[in-house]
Amino acid sequence: MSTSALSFTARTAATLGRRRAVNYVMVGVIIALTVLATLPLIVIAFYLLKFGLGSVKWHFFTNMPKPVGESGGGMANAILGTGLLVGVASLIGLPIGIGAGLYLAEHRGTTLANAVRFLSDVLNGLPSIVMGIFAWQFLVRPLGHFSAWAGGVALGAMMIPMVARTTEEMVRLVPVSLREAALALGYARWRTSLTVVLRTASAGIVTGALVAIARIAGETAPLLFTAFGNQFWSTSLNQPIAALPLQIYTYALSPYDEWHAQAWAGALVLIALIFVISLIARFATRGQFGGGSGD
Amino acid sequence: MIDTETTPSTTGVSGVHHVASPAVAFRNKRPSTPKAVAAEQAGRTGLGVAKLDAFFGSTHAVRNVSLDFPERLVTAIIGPSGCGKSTLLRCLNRMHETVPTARVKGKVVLEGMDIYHEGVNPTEVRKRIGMVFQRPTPFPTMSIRDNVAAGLRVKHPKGHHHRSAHEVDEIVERALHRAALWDEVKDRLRDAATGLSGGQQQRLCIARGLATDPDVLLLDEPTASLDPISTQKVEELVYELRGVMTVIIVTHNMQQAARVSDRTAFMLAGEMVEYTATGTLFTNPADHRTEAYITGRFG
Repeated sequence: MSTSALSFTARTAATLGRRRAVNYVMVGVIIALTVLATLPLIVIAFYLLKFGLGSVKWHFFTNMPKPVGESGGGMANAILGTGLLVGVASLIGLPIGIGAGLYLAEHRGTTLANAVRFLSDVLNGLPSIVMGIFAWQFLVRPLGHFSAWAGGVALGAMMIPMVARTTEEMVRLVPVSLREAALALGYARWRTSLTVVLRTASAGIVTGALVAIARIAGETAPLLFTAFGNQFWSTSLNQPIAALPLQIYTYALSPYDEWHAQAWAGALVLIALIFVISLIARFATRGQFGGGSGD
Repeated sequence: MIDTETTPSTTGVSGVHHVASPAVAFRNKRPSTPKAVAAEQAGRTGLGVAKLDAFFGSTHAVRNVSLDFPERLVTAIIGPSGCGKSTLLRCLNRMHETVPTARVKGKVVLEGMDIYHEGVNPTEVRKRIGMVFQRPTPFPTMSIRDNVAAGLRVKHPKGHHHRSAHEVDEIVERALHRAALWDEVKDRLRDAATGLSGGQQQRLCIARGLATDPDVLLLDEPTASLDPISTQKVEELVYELRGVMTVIIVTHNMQQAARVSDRTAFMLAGEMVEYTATGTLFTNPADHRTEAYITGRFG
């Protein structure tokens, strides 16, 4: 940059004024676009609160669905069902996803790692209803009935690529020098990976796991012909089971006003649940190692 | 006073004597331990290197190096950046091969056993040959105590039984005392190690290396990222390890080599140019390249 001092003084007030004006306009446009980007969430939250809050009473969490015309119905079975489905999905998705992510990070560059990374990206982009068809084909059809297992497997399969890729990213952030320090102490490679590398990256991995859980908790499509839904209280993983998204779907399609109100309330509860999980995910990384300080 | 400020480039030709004098002053301050004297007299080999070659892909980083590191004495390896001194050091505990495309040829002998012999487990080698790196590497998820005890968690060839928490505490305290860190951390052993200063972290890493009581300790420019006061503490600690274990230190700082070591090796472009008693190397080098380097004409 060899702009002479003269060219600075030669700038007229008009030029500077024009530049300032352009600056203000562009900053304004950017702010407007940013607000626009968050607008859908704000509108959704507004409508959920407006139509749903009135129906979120204590009995919504404790009571079973009531027939049309009876008041005081709730979604206790669906809330429990979503909890069980997320639990089964986590049992499947977290170990496989974290293990795969660790492999991807520790063996980067190998043919298998590259293939697995590519396939997990494809899996990540797969429409969720395809996951439902997969679980239906391999679990529902051979067994002859819908089940919570099938729904959990479908959701778990969705979690695997998400968890694997975040684990890979987080493990990569662990400095090579830490790995070397552990190896130099006489740690075997597996021990280095498990006790030093994974532990150092754990905060980031927990965040990734929670984000994945938040995403699958609201999925409807993979459950349509796996978990199927259930109007009754059921804790059996071998039986069809209710889930919040399914219940919302069924109630929203019904012609009854009471059920519509219940659907709004269910949606509000679901969003609140996801919001809380996301908040925990944010705080899990705070004040801990897990980002930025790569070597 | 120890002169840590003088850089090689300012010493000039007459600096040969200037370089050597602090070492003498430093040594006269401390009596050698009887054990060190005995080891010196016996002249036994702590770690032997024979015809060692090391590669990164097609780069030949260490070329046909042979030398014997004396038992329980301090040996310094000096040389300009990229001369292969760190690579040589990393070959001594089989850390070199952890880098992709790295290869090693030749022998490194510890107590009559070649650590590169077929069937030797590198993990077992590293338990007996400890290493401290250029930058402090405390484990961020562990407390100060657990960092020092980290090496005790793996089965050690010298440890015959499972250690109780009390025994571990004793070992941790001894290692921290030896690393001259105990007084600074004794009240916060359960705190995160990352809360320590850079110099404290490096002494913590040295304590971690000492806790397992290795036969050989490798130091790869241990003071490169430290301030002068911390550097002095680490140097004193290295000096005190004479007679306790075989120490090999790679350093950029010639004054440091002169201060802490008994023997010094000078490396250039992957080759071992000269290896002799530290006093001799800095006052009366045999090779003109050694003289050119220590008088600051290059490097």
